[in-house]
Amino acid sequence: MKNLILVLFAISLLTSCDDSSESSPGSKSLSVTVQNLPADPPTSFDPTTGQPIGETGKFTFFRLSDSSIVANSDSTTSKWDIAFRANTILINSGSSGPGSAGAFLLDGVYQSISEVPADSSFHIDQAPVYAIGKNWYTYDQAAFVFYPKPGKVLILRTSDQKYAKLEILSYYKNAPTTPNYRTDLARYYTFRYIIQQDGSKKF
Amino acid sequence: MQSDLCALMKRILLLVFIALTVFGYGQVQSIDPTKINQDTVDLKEVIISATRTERKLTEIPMPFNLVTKKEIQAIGGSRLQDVLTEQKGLTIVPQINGVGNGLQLQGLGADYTMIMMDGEPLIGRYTGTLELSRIALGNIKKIEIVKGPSSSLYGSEALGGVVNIITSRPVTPRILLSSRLSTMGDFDANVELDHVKYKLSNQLFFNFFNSKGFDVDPANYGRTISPYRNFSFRHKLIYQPIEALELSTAIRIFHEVQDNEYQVIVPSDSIKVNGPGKVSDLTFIPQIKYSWKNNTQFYIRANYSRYYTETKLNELSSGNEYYFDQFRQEYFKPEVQSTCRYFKNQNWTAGAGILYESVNTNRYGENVTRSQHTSYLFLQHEWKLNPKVDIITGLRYDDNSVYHSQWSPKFSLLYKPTSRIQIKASFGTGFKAPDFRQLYLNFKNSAAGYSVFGTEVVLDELKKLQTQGLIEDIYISLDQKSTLKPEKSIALNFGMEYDHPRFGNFSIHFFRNDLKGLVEIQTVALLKNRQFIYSYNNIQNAYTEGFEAEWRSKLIRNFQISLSYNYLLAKDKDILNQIKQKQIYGRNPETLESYLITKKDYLGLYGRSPHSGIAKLRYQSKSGKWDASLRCIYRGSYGSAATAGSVSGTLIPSSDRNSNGILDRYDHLVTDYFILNAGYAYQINSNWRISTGVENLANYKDELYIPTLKVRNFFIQIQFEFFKKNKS
Repeated sequence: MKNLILVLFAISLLTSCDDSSESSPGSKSLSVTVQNLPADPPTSFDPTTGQPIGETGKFTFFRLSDSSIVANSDSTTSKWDIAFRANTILINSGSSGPGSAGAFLLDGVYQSISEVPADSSFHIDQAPVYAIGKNWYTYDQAAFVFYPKPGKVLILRTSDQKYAKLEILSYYKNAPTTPNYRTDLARYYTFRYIIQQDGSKKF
Repeated sequence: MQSDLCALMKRILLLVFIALTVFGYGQVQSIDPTKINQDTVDLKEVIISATRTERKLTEIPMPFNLVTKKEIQAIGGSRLQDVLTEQKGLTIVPQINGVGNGLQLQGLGADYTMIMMDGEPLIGRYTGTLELSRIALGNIKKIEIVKGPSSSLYGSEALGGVVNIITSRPVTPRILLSSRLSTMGDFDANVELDHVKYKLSNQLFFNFFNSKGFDVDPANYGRTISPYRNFSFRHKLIYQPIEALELSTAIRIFHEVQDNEYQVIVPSDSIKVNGPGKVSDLTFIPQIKYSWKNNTQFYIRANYSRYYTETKLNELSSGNEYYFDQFRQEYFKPEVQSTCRYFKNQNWTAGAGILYESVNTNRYGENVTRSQHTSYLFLQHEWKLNPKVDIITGLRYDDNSVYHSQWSPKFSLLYKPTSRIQIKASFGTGFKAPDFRQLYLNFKNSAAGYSVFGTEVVLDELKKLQTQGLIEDIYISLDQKSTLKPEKSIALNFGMEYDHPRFGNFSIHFFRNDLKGLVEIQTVALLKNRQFIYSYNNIQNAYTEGFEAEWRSKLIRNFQISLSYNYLLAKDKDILNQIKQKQIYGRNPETLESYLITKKDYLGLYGRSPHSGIAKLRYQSKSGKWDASLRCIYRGSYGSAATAGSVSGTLIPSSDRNSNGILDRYDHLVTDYFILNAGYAYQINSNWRISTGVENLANYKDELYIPTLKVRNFFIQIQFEFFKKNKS
């Protein structure tokens, strides 16, 4: 867990939008960039085969409201929002957990998504089909490298009914510009998100 | 480091250019202008590939290159790509994923240019590309390159243009021996015997080539280019019982063995493999040619060609077979053609033929031979309206047994307002028939997790999988077969040439190709085990446009200089459309920020350099005994392929660093580079000639993106020629 470095870019009190301040009073949003969140990563490469080794098969559970890792023993509670293992992402809903989280992928530039679109419908996990699914990444079959797709933003409803937007930035440790499957350790997520703590759908 | 070198070279080149221009000005006054451009272009020289009839160099209404024997000799190479690399408007695309040295013309890929020898197409496009190193330069007399679609004469494949390699014709008894050695360890030997007696002439040509290959990554098992050796045999027999009649046969045989030895990369491991790779081909062309009353020429000929390739790889550790692949292609084409001059200044050419083709490979299912045939007719009218205007109109009809029939028209115009100015314009269409792979491929790779089926077999395969209950989702209709259509192009070429009495020849040619229905991989189904099934479809629409400019001159006594520049834009129209609809995003891999891609951010198709050029300087001694040349080939930066590739286990990364499937300004481009070649030749006496030179003098390297780039290679070639001079 030492690899987890939380960078709290800003915990800022923002008036969501000057124009609409009449209808929505002051809002409280949290903006965070998480670097190198381990998602069952390999510990090293086998010196003879070059194969990554040391994976355990366990998910890493995460709570957005205070950007903290939730212990695996709490996986059956509503304490977590989102969980990562390799390229599989779960949300605390349906077949994955008792929570009522929801999520979907939205096309757009992270910064310019200012609210959850009115006509959105949130999905829940129903194994083997998950709310977030596989559409957030591409896999280069020749280089054996995963890339998060640009312009894919996860819109999340957390276990405690708060809304967040989340963008995955890298799947490799220290976010190398051109990941190499033989030297860069996979299953380390770098992502950023904004969670609106007041329950509104505006970021 | 590399870009520093590039910048330096650019500066040097500019200085040389300025120096030459200035120096040239000073010199030019003292030279009699009428004598200057005489041997830049031999006015009697003809080109046959542009119209299938002999036309003078000054009467060709489309852009072309003519590579003469002299130039081939000055380059001192041994395989076809050595010469084609140095031609304006042509780019040799380096080998990747086992697809060999391909040719790019007007921004169109290697699949879209027809390569012929003595007017007959070469076969063996196993993966779409014809491996240029299969062709020995030995008895080649000249190479004609015609740019712009030529399907109106040659049918499928001639979208970008045609390259026609013309071999020499025995005219006098002659023995020619030559041998070439290089520091890279290449050995090349040629024997040519010409025999002319009574009405019979014979030519025997034999070439042996041995390459030790080379290695850019010694840490990796095996070599980047595995050692190989091949031989070529060509025989030509011409019998001319009377002046008007000519009977001839041509036989060509080629055989190559490569000792493959490399690492195969798989997701979890890398496997060391070795084994032989074999290529052999055979061509037999009988022909009867008859000329009647000086105004009608007629020929009937057949082309029978066979190509076979086989790759066998064994695991080094266990000796077990790791991979086996064989591909056999047969080609038979009888053809007739007649050219008549019935009216003054008008030439009619008509021709017809049938082409039978079959392919057998383990990739199309067990022991299945797939075949198709095409019947075709073509007609061409050459009309010299007046001394200033030439009009050529052509039309060809191809009727194929599998895909839709095709009409290919072409219209060309040549206007010469003065004897020194030529204005050329042509408009035409081209097409490329779907290849056997796109129709019949049956490729199941459960290890990599996907399957690919050709369009003719995909429905049966899907139905089979459906009855087995393996399919999760199908994205196409199972009731209606979608027939693959030929890929089509509409092209416009427009250019001007000006021959200045002092400053030489200036030319500029603009081109635009609109490509419709390019065949792309399409996802057709998803299996329950999450594996995808792919097939092909006419999806992509693209365009290429740009221009080619050249200046060549004999400004200074005994010096010949030429500078050419090629500008190219090649874009996918559908991607442009998606950009317009704000559907494509990009990420800056350094800042990790995402952006909406704008039209300006999109750089176009992979593997296309917007800028490229060639500078050549040649000096010929007064006595004609020796000559020297320096050639510089520039290739501007370009995007490596859409996905990563590999050459003998060395991974070549994709340029697409942000995984949005397109080449944009956030991606990593292959650095631009210069290749410098130099040569020197000395004619000792009428029998002996010695030449020496160096390829890649500056030893430019790009191990990551172009591992197949030849390292600095010095060579020496000795030639012995013995002939009877009494013939004329």
